[in-house]
Amino acid sequence: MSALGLYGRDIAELLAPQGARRQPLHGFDDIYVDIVDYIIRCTHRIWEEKDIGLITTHYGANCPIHLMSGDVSGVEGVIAGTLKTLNSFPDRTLVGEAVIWSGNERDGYHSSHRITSHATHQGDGEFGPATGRSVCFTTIADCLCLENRIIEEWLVRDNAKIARDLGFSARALGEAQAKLSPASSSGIATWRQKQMDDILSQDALDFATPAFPDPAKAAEEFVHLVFQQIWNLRRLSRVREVYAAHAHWAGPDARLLFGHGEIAGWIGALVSMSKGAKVRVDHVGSVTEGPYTDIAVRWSFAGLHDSTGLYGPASGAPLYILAVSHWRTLNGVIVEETTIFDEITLWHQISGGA
Amino acid sequence: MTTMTLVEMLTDLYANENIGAFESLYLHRAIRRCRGELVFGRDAIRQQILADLVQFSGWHFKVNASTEEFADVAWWSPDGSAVRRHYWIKLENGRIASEAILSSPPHPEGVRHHHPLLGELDSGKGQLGPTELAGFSAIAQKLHKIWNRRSIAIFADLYHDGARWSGPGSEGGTQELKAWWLQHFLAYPSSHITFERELTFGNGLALQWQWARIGSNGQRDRIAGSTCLQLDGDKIIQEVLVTD
Repeated sequence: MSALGLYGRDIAELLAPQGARRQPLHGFDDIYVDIVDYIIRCTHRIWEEKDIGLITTHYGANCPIHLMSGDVSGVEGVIAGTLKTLNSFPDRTLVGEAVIWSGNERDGYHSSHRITSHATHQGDGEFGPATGRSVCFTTIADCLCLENRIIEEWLVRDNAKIARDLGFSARALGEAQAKLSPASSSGIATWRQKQMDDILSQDALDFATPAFPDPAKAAEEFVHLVFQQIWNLRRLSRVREVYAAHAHWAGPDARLLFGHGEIAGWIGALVSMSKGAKVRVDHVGSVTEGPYTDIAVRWSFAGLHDSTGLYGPASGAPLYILAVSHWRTLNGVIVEETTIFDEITLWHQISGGA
Repeated sequence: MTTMTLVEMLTDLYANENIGAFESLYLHRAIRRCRGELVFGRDAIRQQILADLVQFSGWHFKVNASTEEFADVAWWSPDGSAVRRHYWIKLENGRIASEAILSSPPHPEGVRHHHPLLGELDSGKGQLGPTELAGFSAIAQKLHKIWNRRSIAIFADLYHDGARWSGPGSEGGTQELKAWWLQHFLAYPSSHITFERELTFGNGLALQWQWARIGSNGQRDRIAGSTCLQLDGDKIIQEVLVTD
């Protein structure tokens, strides 16, 4: 038994009663038939039906939530955060574009849920006083789910796109945040330094030229080799082996790229900010959707901002990026990618924030 | 889920104004690419279709050519002006999951790029220039040689003597076609067209592509384009080229 994916299924079908359980789900509410159903349905119930209290039965009491700006934990914080967001954006709709899952009922299911939201900024909140403007932004929530509860979550949200839609600049917001919480004389926040130390302590890679496996057959190996070869060994030429010549790429703040040149250009622009930057693959999941193999990869980047580039002049700031990429692969190559991370937090770091 | 063809879907929407059928034509998470941007979700696409109905009220809707995942359509106004559009769609279980829309004339505000484009126009070729085009038809390979290698001698081999052509801001025969391309080769000393998709139907062939270019003024952009060809054997007798 396995989960039924999103391919070709409309929202009315996804939210209709699903009948018998399709996947082992020990401890999950009877209403859920598989992990995809759990993710799509509970998101709808909590956010769109506004059953906020349901969070108490769907999150672990001390569930850590990892953000690029730091960790938060606890179900009370999740409820408070949800209410705050809905106060600012009460008509938010959350369109599930992908649920890429792995795991099992014993160790927990890991889901990578890509959501594109539409909303109107109707209430005061983290983005300031209500503007009445419409926003459209993408989030990816990686959740470890056990016995009906999310027990750990990694959340990336395209906050720069929200800022753009509201008429603000991600850079200006990041700079303002850095003034409110600057790094101390002893350095950046301990958690961020630890993340960076962990990523930068990875062993140096031997130079070799392994063939990339078919992602449909060996997704995990494919992902590790992509990040090892292209990102950490700086072999941008190998972009042409793993991406289709006509691949589309979508990233933070409505950045859209196409083809080998632009995708290699983006990777090069990011790693060129820091001579010693390293990237670490943190989690990989994959599912088959119609003719495609969809892969979710959560990755993190660390390095000193020692070179002028994509994000302005060298600042010397320690940089930590928490990102999730969703790859749609076909015939052995990536044909579509969505990569999300929080560029406001990146500007916060570049601007001397903690 | 619908069993309608793309032409039937478009006719239902635009000739019959059957917006009620919209939900069975598009998935709720459908994505539209147009003017360099992504439009997320069925509701947002519906707004654009409603805007079309306002713009084309009283106009005549006509399908020029189509296959399962491509259509070349036009709206004719009472005064004889026309808007031509190419639809490239991808279906999931009979519903549109994604589509790209390209129009002639292009939108007056042009393509939107929120960020400077990055990297090379044609990756990794350096001074060697464009290589052979793999995975596409012989016709596409000849177009690749004209468009990307500037091999204008191929025009005579590829186009029928009396071929008709229309593109952004120009139309006519092969002389006008050649002049249009030469003008753009001069305006964009660096440019590369990457082919995305190719579909054949009857004596027709459609190509979807992206044109990355740097103008003589240093301005860089990338526009999406689409070409619908009518063939007589291995020669083109009619070409419609649209961009976003």
